[in-house]
This record gives sequence, C-alpha cells and structure tokens, in this order.
Amino acid sequence: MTTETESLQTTLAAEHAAVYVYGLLGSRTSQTAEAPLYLALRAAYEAHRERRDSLIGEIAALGATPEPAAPAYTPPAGLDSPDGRYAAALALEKGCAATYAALVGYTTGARRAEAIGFLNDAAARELSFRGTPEAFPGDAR
Amino acid sequence: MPARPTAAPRVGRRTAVLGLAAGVLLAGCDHGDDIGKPNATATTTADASADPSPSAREQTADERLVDEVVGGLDGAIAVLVAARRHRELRPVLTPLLKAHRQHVEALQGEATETPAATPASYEDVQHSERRLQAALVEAAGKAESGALAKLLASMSASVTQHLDALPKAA
Repeated sequence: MTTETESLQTTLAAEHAAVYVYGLLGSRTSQTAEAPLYLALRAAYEAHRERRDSLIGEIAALGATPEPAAPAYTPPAGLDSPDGRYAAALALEKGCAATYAALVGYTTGARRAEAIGFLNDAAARELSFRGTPEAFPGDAR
Repeated sequence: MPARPTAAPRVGRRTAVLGLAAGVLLAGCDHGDDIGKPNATATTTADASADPSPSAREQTADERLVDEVVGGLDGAIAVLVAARRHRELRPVLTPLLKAHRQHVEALQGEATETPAATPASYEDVQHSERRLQAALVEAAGKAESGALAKLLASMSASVTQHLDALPKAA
C-alpha cells in the first residue's frame, strides 16, 4: 500500500520533471512574439519550482531522503512550434493534476488541503495552455 | 490515514442505486483507482449476508458527506437551470450544467431530477458556483475515504476551471 511519504515522493518526481520541461519550453518561446505563452510558461515554471522546493522540505521533515531529479528527461514532442509547445505544456499540467489528485487520496489534514490546492491550481493553469474545462480534472474516468 | 470502513457495504439515503459513490465509500483509504469497481472491493471488505438497507444501520460520516455534497450540487443545478431561461446565457452555462450532472451521477449513481428553480441572474450563477467550489474543497478535506476525497477534490477543480472560463460579465 502506498504511504503518504511515497505519494509525496511521487509528487516530487513530477515536480522535478515539470521544472525541467517548463524550463525547456520557456527557452524555446519568444518573450515578445509569443508573450502570452511565454508568461504562462514562466508562471508555471516558478510555481512548480516553488512547489518542488517545498516538497523537498516536507519529505526531509518526515525523515526521508527526497528523491533527486533524474539525470535526464525525454523532451516532449512538438517543441518547434507554438502549437506544439502549448500542447506539451497542457499535457504536462494534466499529468501534474493527476499526480496531485492521487496525493489527495493518500493524505489527510493540512497535507491533503495542500494537495487539493495543488490540484485546483493545476486545473486552472490548464486553461492558460488552451485546456478546456472538464468534469473531473486529474481523475481519469 | 483515515480509518478504513469495516462494516457491510452501505448505501446512503440518496444512493438507492449503487453508483460510483458506493465504490468510493467501500474503497476506504485507498486512493481511488478502484472507483467504479464496487463489486471487487465489496467481496474483500464486507459480509455479503449483511443487511445493507439504510434502515438497518446508521449512515457513515462519508455517506452523510455525500448527501450534503449532492444537496449542494442540486442547488447549483437549480440556479443554472433558472439562469438558462435567459437564452443568451445558454451557451455559456450548458457545459457547467453538464459537468454538475456528471458530478451527481458519480456520487449517486444516477442523475437527480432537476429541482424547480426560481429566476436567477448570471451573478447568481457566479455566486452559487463559488459557494459550491468552497463546499467541495471543504468536503474533500473532511472525507474519511481517500477515494472519496480524490473524487470531491477533482470536482472542486472542475468548478474552478468552469468559473475561470466563464465570461466576467454576461
């Protein structure tokens, strides 16, 4: 059975990947010619970086060793076009939402409240990457 | 972790039809991959001969929570139905109404009959949805079952998305 700490580690792994991919997407996006996408990517990058750092602290406080980032990540497809970058960012945020939804199920109290906040934030962020409202964000059914 | 329910499969007052919520309630603190598979879980957690009728025992905390949430969803649906009487609002509000009907189905196993509604404005809808979103967040935090918490949190995120997608003024 998955423990709360294991679920936090899974979430941390997702944050490491998100920070990498958002950084990559941002580096391929023009700050002037694609300003809306650039700003959305930058906001996402900063939010996930902050969350990653917070999770590292939480996991360490539980007496566990926070999972390090992977040595390398496979870049998403479609980086060469704005449409491709929108799609990659949306897919990434949907993946994060699913991770947060799982974290909600494995946690209680303040940590669950935090996970619910993460999920709501990811759901809202999906819209900035051309996502559309769903009935069950983060919960494939 | 929340306590795992140990009693027989229970059906809430409103859940005469065993729907997804029953699977959620039977799933205990597991995270919810078993939502929608109530039978598999029931054989391992419940005595098949036990009387599951509502009159045979009291509701669990999660069953009461589901009832409260469905009541909140019914209220939000009523406001949406009333606001859709303004023809120009229909395209904007229909996706939200569909989502809420899916939410009720997930909790109750079947869509409820839409309650009678009094006239409502676009501002009433926004207010109603914000109140529902807060109630869903609170309910997700209170659920004893992790699977139910996950489902309610997902519903709260759905309302967040729909609220963000609504025009600021109609």
